[in-house]
Amino acid sequence: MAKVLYFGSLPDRIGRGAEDLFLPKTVHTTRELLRYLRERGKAWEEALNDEQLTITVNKQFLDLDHPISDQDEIALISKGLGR
Amino acid sequence: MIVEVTATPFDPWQRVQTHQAQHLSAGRYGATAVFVGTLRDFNDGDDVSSMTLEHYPGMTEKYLEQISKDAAARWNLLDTLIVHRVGELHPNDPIVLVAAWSAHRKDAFEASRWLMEELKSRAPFWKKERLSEGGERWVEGNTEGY
Repeated sequence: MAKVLYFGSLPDRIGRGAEDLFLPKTVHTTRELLRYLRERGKAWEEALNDEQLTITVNKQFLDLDHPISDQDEIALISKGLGR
Repeated sequence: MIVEVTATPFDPWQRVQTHQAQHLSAGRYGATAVFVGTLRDFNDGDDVSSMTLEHYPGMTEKYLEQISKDAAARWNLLDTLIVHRVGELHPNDPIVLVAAWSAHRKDAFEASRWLMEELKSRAPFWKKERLSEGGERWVEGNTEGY
């Protein structure tokens, strides 16, 4: 199972900070993961906009087309939340 | 090179002194550049009563270690120290300490500035402000550093 973490304002918007997830067969990249998660409803669709997110896989900043698997820890981070 | 993310309030000036005494050789360093970030009681025209800082455990430390290594490769440094608070902070609480030691001032000045800007632009920290008039808000975008 992949571990998906949500940071910044995302937990407030989608109601969870983390989850364990068996990646569906249609999901091979972080871009496809976002597409899959957005189908969960309006709040997810609004919160998980590609352009407003930074993605890390196994604690490294990576681009949206990076391949992912069930062994990975994927973090979705609201972009621009700085200090 | 030390990186620490802590939920415990800290005294940045004490940390600099302690680090210097424990990790630097007297007589070897001629320059110490220190940046301390402190929580303001205002932001975007509103009074701020407190702020909660969150981080990504493991990732945040790893990122700070990476930029410390990058700085050491780029400048002639003797040592660096980064301490960053998380958790609930109140106005006047120190948020972040960045210190760099070198033989000459150019390296310490430039490295500490670069470390701070890298930290602000990409390090995985998030903040939620609590306003004096009530309500909370996630803060988007960095303040202009200079």
